[in-house]
Amino acid sequence: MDDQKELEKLVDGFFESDQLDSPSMNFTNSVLEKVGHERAARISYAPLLPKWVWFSVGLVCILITGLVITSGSPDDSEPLYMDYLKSSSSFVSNLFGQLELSNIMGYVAVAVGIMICFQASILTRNFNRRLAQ
Amino acid sequence: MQGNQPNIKAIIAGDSHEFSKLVDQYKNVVFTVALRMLKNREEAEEVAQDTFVKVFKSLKRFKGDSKLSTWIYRIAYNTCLDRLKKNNREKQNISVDEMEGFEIKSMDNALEHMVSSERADLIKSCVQKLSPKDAALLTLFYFEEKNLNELGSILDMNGNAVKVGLFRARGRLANILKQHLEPEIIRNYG
Repeated sequence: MDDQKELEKLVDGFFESDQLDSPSMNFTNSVLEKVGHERAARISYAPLLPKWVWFSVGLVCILITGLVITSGSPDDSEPLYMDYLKSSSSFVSNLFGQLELSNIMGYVAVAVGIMICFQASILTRNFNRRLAQ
Repeated sequence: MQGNQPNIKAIIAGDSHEFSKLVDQYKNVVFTVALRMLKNREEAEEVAQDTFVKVFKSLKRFKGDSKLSTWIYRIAYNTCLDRLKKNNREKQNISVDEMEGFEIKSMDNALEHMVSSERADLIKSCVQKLSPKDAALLTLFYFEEKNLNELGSILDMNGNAVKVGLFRARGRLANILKQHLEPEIIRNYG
């Protein structure tokens, strides 16, 4: 225990005469310069379409859908959109009627879809973080 | 922040003058730690500069959980470790031999009779031979952080590990010192 104290005293005394080293004179300026370069090189991320454009597109879609649903002559017993639905469903059934998918194929398609969604969210978060740095 | 302390909010807003104040305040400790860990002046300067660039980039994430100095020294220490890993230069520690009390006293006497410039040179060459982690531990302890928990937070260790690390680092330094001091000096002054 005494040896420990002696050792501590020795090293304490040793470091009493020690001094901090100084970097070169233009150290601070070099750091500021590097920081300036970093700022200039930083990629500024902006979405291709601003939010208001997305809102406008959404609004237009809603209006068109509303128009289609409510349009048609007042005498008709069925609204006009029912014709569209009928014709579109017969087209889909004609097109995919002969197509036979196994259960496994269906599971694979669902799994791949989930994987893509999952990876897309992770990649988006990762790129956002990298751009924020 | 008041007085000479750098204003963190102003730095985040892009105030270069405040940031240069922060650099000036911490550059000597950061550079000394880097120099003693990397053992090369040019490399230490480069790593110290990189440390401050990292500080600038991540200052907005500084929550104030620890002291600003602790946070900056942790970045400096990790940047040095990264550089050492990159260069594969993680030096192994030398063994700690048990030292007798009379040996310690002899070295103490020999040191007391040294001219201060001679002693400063001796310190530099002894610290140069320490492993990067020991060098960082002793430098930060003696120049900045006497609080073992804060020191542990810089070096990613708990308080007890810091205490043990300090004891071992002192022992290794004393061994190096013993090798440096000429045996006749120890005999003369011991």
